[in-house]
Order: sequence, then C-alpha cells, then structure tokens
Amino acid sequence: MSATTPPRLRAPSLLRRLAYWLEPRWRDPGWLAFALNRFAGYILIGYLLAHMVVLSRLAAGPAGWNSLLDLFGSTPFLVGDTLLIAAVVFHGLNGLRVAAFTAGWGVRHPNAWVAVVLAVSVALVGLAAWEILL
Amino acid sequence: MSGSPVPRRFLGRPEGVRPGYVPAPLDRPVSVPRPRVRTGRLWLVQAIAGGLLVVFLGVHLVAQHFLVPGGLRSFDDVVAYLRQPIALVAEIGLLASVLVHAGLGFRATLVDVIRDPARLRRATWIIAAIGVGIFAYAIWLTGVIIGAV
Repeated sequence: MSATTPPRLRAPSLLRRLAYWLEPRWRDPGWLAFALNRFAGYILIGYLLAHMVVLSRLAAGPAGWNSLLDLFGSTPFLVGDTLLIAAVVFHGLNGLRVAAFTAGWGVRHPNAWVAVVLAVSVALVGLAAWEILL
Repeated sequence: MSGSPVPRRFLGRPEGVRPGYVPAPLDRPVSVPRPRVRTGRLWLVQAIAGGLLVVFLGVHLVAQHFLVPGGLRSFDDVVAYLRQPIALVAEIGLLASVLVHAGLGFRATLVDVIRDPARLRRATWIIAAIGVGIFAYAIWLTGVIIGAV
C-alpha cells in the first residue's frame, strides 16, 4: 500500500515563490508580457493611491490646489507622467491582447502579438513623451 | 479496440515546429471531458471593468489633460468641469471601474502566493473593504469640491 502512495511534497516557501518571478530561464515572450503587465499593475495601484492623496488638496480650496500646479509642471514630475503613461499604455494594450486570446483571436501567433503590443506601446509612449517633454 | 471516443491528449510539441505552435482544429467536433475547477468568474468581472476602464480613462486623459492648455486645470476649472453632469458620471465611472479592476488584479496576484483558502478569502474581504472605503472617500471629496456637501 505504501509503495503506491506518492510522497508528500512540501509546498515551496513564500520567498522561493516570490523569487520564481525573477527567474529568467525557460521563459517565452508571453511570460515577459505577463510579468511586465503585473509590474505595471503594481505601479498603477501605487499611483492610484498617491493620486487620491494629492486630490485631497482640492478640499482645501483654490489656495491648496493652485500652489501645486507649478510643482506638477516641473521636469521631474513630467518625466514621471511619461513613465506613468508607459505603464498605462502597455497595461491597457496587453489587457486587450489577453482578452482577445481569451476569445480565441490571434492564438495562432501569440509571440507576434506580444511583439505588436510592445511595438505599439513604444510608439504611443514616444508620441506622449514628445508631447509632454518637448 | 473499443468503440468509445478517445479524448485527444496533448502529447508534446511535434518535432520541427516553432514554440507557440497551436495544433490545427479538428475537422469534426470531439467531446473532451473538461476538468472541474472552482475558478469563479471574477476574471470576467475584471475583464469587463478593464474594458470600461479603457473608455473612461481615455475620456479622463483627453478631457482633463490633453485638451487643457498646459495639461493641468486650475481649481476653478476643476470645479466647473465636475459640475457638468456628463463629466461627473464619467469620473465616477472611472473611479468605480479602476477600483474594481485594481482590486481584482491585486487579488489575482495574491492567489499565487496565498495557498490557504481561508486566508485568501480574508484577504479578498480586506481588499473589498479598502476599495469601498476609497470609493466613499472619493465621492465625499467630489461633493466637497463641487459644493454639494
């Protein structure tokens, strides 16, 4: 009886499961898109929380808000806005790719669609950077 | 050989094809037993919220930043914008869809690291409570800004 019982496998530790995300071997372009999508998602959640805090200044009236406009228009903030747009654009386009795959569209060329998402993202972020920074 | 239908099994990638190869569809329907899994439909809710987000965020970026000289509205411009009913609906729709999408997305990442269903359920309720709290705070803040509170 014991000969047919499979051995109990210990679940990997939390640290090992998190380290798995940093493992670049045996990966394909779909994994790269998946990992970038999660990374962008964490950035966007952080921005969402920071945005809610900043918007609370509107409750202080014109003096509370208008004094921030110069800060928001400074170069470091504009660079940050561009990086934020990069996260939004890639996360959005990759989400559309995942939705299309879920519906069965484009599944014959998965790697090509990842390349399309990356290329269009770079093009759109380049346009946004041109508009914002120059 | 018995006459019972044999499920089509994945036996590995055939020789000589590139990674990402997808087998051609069968020319006749084959009944394959699907595994019973309890995945729920939260992924569908997240996908629908993501679709709404594309629309609402697009409106938000264009109306609040790209159409505004300098890209930022002054306080008076913000108040005037939010007092338009359509703009108010668009902003509240953006808030709701972004909170649903972000909350479910964060929960999806927790599924990979939390193995105990009870702990995952507790984490889900905490995320939901935070989302409801942020939504209520944002609605109150909007009311204060437009002078309705």
